[in-house]
Amino acid sequence: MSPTPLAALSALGWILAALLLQYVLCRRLIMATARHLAEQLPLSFHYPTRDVALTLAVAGAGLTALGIAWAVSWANGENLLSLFTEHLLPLQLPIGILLGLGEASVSMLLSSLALAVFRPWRQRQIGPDLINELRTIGRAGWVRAYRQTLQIWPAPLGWASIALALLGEELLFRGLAVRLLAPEGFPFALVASTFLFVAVQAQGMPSWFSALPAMCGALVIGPINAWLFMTVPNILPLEIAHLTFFCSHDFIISPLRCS
Amino acid sequence: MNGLIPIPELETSLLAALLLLHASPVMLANRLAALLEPIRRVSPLWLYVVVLGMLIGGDLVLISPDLHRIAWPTQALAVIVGLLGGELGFWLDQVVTTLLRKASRDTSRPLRRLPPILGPSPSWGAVLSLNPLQAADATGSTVTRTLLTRGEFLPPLVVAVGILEEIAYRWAFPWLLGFVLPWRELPGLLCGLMIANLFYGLIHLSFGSRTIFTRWLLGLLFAALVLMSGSVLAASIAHGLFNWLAMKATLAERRRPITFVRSHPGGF
Repeated sequence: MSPTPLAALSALGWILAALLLQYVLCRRLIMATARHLAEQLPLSFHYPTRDVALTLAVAGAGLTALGIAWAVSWANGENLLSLFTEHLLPLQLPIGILLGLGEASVSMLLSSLALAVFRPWRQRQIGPDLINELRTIGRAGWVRAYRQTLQIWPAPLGWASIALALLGEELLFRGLAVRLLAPEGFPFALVASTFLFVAVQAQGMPSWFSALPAMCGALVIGPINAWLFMTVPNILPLEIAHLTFFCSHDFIISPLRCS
Repeated sequence: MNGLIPIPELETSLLAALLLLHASPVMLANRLAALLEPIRRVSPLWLYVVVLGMLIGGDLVLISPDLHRIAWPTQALAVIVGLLGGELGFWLDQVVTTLLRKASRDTSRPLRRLPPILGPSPSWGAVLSLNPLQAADATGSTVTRTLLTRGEFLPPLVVAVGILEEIAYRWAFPWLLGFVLPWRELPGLLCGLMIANLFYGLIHLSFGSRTIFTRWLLGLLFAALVLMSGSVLAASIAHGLFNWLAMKATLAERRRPITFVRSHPGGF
């Protein structure tokens, strides 16, 4: 049976609802809860409460994404668990590491290019403040939350939180978006899921200019992971690639070096 | 793909990983240098050679064990063509760079208006402490020149980089692209060479936009050598010679003052 426009709209509607729920409603709820929790934790005596709250929000965002992905999959008759268990080959996991390294290197190249291209434009907008903005690139917005997570929490907990948050992204954009849009055709699923993935990277960033590196990263990870997910529908190699991508970035390396 | 991976499910993942790794190995080398820096200071160029070597080794072992037989035919003429190509490439690069310099008053350092903070003789750590995105933006050519004047770039290493880059960008990468491009035979090869050449130009971003263009032009010359000779040997010799000549030219300019770009003043 060929897909109908109504089916495509329905799939898009489900995906947009899931993303709005995760990145608008849940985000506010998570931050409010995290702030409340952070005030109760003894860590707040050593670190600013806002920073502790940010780190709690990282894990919280992962959990809500997991829940939303499961609920939407269930509503559409899809089995979320099969994304972890089916089509898994042990050799895919080391290839996932290679994939993450490759994605990181190309995204760094694209980020540098995007910053070089848009810098004159941004300089006309904000003048000499550009240098301050360049200094904060890779250290602001949600990237800061990931940095703080590694600095504040013990390494296993910090990495587990980050892995959970990245798993949430993979489930929402590949496990959900690509899978629901796949019946409408591979190019549409790839383009739509990548567009949405790139768009959400800008949320929480201080400016469009400082969001450029994250958006470039999403522009590389989005289509590649979608392509691979369509080939082998298992989320674990993609999660490993995403985690490796993060590990190889300077905003992860720098705090480790400092500690 | 007639390699050691007979499992079809793994082919696409491996192909995607190799394509990405071939597109920008220099960034991977820079990241490795940053990771290793707390343990041991290693020149990014050494790591670049290691990364390129590992990539080419991976191509040979994992994907196509017979790649070496195609890539290195016995061609005495290719050596002469390669030497001539290297000289021609260096001359072309000098002419185009001079013309572009005359056409534009802009220097190769994009953030030149920013006041210097690292001082005239910065430490390696200070150079590495720059945000990599800013570093890629502003310091590539300066760091290279500094390392050259410190004698950290050995001539055989510089020549080896040229040879390995040719194997990676003019043979392995276009060949891998052939698996995903819709065209076959000559159009597919040409398209693969153009895409690979685009990335080859872009990896010189840290040296300024002018260098992207000149290296892209140079890549076209090397690609023409590959197409004409049917092997990567002539282009490898040409690139190795070009790198050696370019290094000599850079060393000749070592007396020029070095100005580093301002970094962030303290912690975060």
